[in-house]
Amino acid sequence: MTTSVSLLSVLGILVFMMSVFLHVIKKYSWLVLAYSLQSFCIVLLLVQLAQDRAEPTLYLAALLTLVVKVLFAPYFFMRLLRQYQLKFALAPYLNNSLTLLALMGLTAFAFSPALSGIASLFPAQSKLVSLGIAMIFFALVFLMNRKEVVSQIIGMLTLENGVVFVALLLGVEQPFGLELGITFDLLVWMIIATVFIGVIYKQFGSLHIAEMSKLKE
Amino acid sequence: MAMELLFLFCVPIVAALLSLLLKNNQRLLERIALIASLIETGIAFVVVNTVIRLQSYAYSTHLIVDSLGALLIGTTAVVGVFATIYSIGYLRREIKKEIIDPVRLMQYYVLLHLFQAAMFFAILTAEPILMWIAIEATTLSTAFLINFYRKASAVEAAWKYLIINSLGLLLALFGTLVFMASAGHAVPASLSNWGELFAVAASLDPVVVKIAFVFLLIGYGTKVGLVPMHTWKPDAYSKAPTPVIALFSGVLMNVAFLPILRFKTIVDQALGIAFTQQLLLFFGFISVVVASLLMFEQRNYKRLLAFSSIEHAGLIALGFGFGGLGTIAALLHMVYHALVKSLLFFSIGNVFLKFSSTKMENIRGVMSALPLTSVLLLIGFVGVVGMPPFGVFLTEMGILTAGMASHPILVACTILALVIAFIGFFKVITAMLFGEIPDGMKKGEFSRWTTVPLVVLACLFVVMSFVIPDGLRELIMRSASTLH
Repeated sequence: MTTSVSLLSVLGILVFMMSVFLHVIKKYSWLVLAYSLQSFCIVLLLVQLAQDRAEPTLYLAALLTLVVKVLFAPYFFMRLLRQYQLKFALAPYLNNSLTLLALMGLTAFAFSPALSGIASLFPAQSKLVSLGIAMIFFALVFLMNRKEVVSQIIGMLTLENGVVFVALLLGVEQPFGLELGITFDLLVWMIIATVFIGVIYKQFGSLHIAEMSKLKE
Repeated sequence: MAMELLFLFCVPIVAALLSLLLKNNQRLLERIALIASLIETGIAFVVVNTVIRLQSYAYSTHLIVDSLGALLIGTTAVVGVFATIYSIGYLRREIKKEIIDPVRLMQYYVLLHLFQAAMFFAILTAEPILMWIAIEATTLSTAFLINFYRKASAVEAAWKYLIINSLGLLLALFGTLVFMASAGHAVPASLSNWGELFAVAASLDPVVVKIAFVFLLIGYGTKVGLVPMHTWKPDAYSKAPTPVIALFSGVLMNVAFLPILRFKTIVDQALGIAFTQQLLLFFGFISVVVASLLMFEQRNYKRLLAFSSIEHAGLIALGFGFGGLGTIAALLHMVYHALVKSLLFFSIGNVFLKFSSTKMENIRGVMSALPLTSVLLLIGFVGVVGMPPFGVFLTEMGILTAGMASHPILVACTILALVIAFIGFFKVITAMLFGEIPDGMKKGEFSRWTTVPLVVLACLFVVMSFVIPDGLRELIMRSASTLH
């Protein structure tokens, strides 16, 4: 049990670190890679939890996550990046220093007494739960801070990873149902990405959010 | 064996699949849509009647309809069938003007059916996570409908809608999972549906329940369009086809309220009513005030109606916040609002088809150009701003009366906001109805497809303002007793 707790902690920290790295990465392919690595850590987490809790459905959830989030989704996004020759993201609204300061503040908030109630649901790994909550906040900042459509999609997907991470630690029932729901969401996001990236590029000549200002009267 | 519940969301899915096979057959697409929506309405009617008799109706433990669910199923089906009939006439005009082609028409009907299926499933399912999946499915199907006309502004509106709503729904999912985790720790058994969550409500950790509900309210409140999560609404409403907006405003808003209300009953059981009351009153009040003020500066009539929907969402939230008579009034308001807002949107749709513009400065002389539509538009306007003696007036009075004793200042400010909204609306409607029509514009309505559903909706709304059917009253009273 001590070994599994250590492994859970390591995986949790890795998932958290990927969330932080996403904010400093500028190259799109590395963003996709970071998302893929983060998802792979979630797969390992699922396998570890399957062993700890003796729940066979968690193995199924792990397999689903591996196929869709670690293999298929990154391949799909890399193809899109090649198709539209997208290499580097624009500078975000906040520079790296300010972004990291914001992330520090949000981490402190996630560990604060205000949200400690959620962490207390899993006393053995309450710090991991707080890290998971911080990850959700990081994904929100990523969504608001980035100026391109592709970054926003990746932000949305990492937010999903954060929610799944916290849910798994909290021992939510029906994890396979949860993974199925997230997978459904992910697959439809890929359809949306395929359609909308092409449409946005055609209409605006760019995937930068700032170009999308036709609604301003 | 309650197979009707299964058929209710399977029929639109089958209709979507059939429509997918018909790329160039406009008439067959229309017939499938019409038949499907009539079948859905028939099934909904059976389900609603069964619930009135038996108080609930279940197909296994996964699909359960109680009084609140039956109320929403009835509203969804009725507005849905009118939206489908109106769509036929609306899209025929669009094809005639060569704005859309047969392939786009097929895509519209497929997405419309999937939208309907997702809404029915969201109401029927007994499990919070499946409800979340269904509501997420509505976001995804409607995003393509908002982008229906494929203009730059429509793409932008659709993208904004997708990002904001998906973000909101992920926060709602987080709240749902925290809730379920808390419940799972209180009682170590498999917990998956509303009834089981309610049964353990009293033993939930109060702090965790509060945090979870805040995430849920913000998440699903985004879908409802409560301020400040409303920013997607005016843009989406201004770009989507009119029948789709009628479903957004009349039905989807109510469906998005459903998980908030379901969780509210559980939180009230765990903590008492004060916590959810304060939150609903806060979001309800700022929605009414902000929407009423912003209605004044609108130059696009579809955006004006979007802010009107935000205002009414705020009123409904206020009603549920006040409780008691407010809950009853809010439930009835959901029904009246669905009918009258749909009527208003369909009327506006005819105006758009005639004038080809959504800018209010370009619309003059609707009374001459579209005589029947102008009468129905007037009924819609009078109804939606809450003028007596129509139903919305009664429900607004009910909501405000419920809060008068406990929150007099809030009620006074809300009344002021409603007066401001009325003035803003009145200014626009009178400017549009009167005046000279543009040179060369042909007077007269388009077809019965774009007039008959409006006439029937108007009659339904007017009659129901004076006579509430016993079955509806029963459903509302039972729903109110479970909610409060």
